[in-house]
Amino acid sequence: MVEFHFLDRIVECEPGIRVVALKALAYNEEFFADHFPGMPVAPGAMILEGLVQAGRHCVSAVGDTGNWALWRVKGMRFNRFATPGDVLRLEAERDKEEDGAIWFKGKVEADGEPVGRMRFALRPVTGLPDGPRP
Amino acid sequence: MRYVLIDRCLELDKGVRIRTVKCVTRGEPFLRELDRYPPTLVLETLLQTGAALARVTAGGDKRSFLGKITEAEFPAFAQAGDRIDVLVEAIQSRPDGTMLHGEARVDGALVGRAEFMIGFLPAELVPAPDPKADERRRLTRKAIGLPPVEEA
Amino acid sequence: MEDNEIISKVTECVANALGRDEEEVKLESVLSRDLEAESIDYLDITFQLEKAFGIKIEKDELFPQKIFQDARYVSDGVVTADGLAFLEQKLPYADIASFRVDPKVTAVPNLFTVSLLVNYVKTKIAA
Repeated sequence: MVEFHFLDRIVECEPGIRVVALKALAYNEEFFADHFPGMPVAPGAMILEGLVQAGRHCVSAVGDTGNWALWRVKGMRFNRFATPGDVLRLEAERDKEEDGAIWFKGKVEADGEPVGRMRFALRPVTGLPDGPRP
Repeated sequence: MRYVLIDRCLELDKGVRIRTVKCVTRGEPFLRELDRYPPTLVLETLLQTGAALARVTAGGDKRSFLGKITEAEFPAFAQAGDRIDVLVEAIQSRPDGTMLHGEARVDGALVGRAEFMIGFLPAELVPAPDPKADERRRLTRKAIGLPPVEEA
Repeated sequence: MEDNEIISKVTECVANALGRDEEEVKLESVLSRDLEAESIDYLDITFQLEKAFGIKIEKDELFPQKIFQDARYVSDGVVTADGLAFLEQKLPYADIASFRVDPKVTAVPNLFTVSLLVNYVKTKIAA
């Protein structure tokens, strides 16, 4: 199953423990046209998606080939806006397990300054059948 | 991808609640490769719907921003062909921000729930004013050929 | 409600509002300085407390913004006598005595500790 790729590059990876990835923000990415017109700001949900994908990479790096989906989020907050021209540094660090799900602490920076932080949990899911539902 | 995640607004009761609909389809670019609608986009749907309520309630030409998300959960998935029913209710409306609670359901089944805060520009809820960023934005707009932003 | 239960629930509210572990939230923690609470968080804390204790907190009742906005209360970065009286009236359970020693307006946020929230809740539910 192919996920839509939001991350540009993995720069650090301690399998199962911690991942640092980069996501560059370009004005010509389609979501900027709508968010917001004339004032492009990276949507918080997209930044979260970057961290989710980083967390997923962290888990799959230990050889886990299962599918991990976002289950819960806690305390998502931002210090400043992320805008085109920023290269986001996304760090996902494994925190604890709960009912088979894995909690991560997520941190986002740009140019060495904090952009935001959040905690999120990924849970294992079985694949859905491909193609339209019968 | 285009980033408006409200397909239709069914009800808007200022300061109280808003109901919208979001269709999930393989016509959306990322869903050509996926089986299920990413939970982060269910979240964004909830946030955009809540922001719409907050903005219309505040009136005028206010720009709304995501202040924070206290918590969110995604117990099930929406898939291509589903229609998501979104309901967001205002918990607290204060001049400094609005606390909202939203639920997204497919055929009654919960696919997402979030408690979050929307703030307005210019207000204390937006991350602290950043003159460097403002100057950067002004210069960039000039470079791209956009008209200057009018200060509120 | 027992003191322990109040402390425990207030800790949980603050932890939830600030996205932190409960272990990080101590009675003496200053919300802004130690837990990095921002203006956006005070509304959330207020709401979490209302939810947890079934109380209604009026605007400015717990976190009086007026101290920063009224010229009578602040002069040259120092809280005036009027301002101190205002604080004592608004926050009877806060440690104004220590604050009087060096009443800089920038130090007002230091009054807002988890302990202050606990005292506030106790006052509120006893009423």
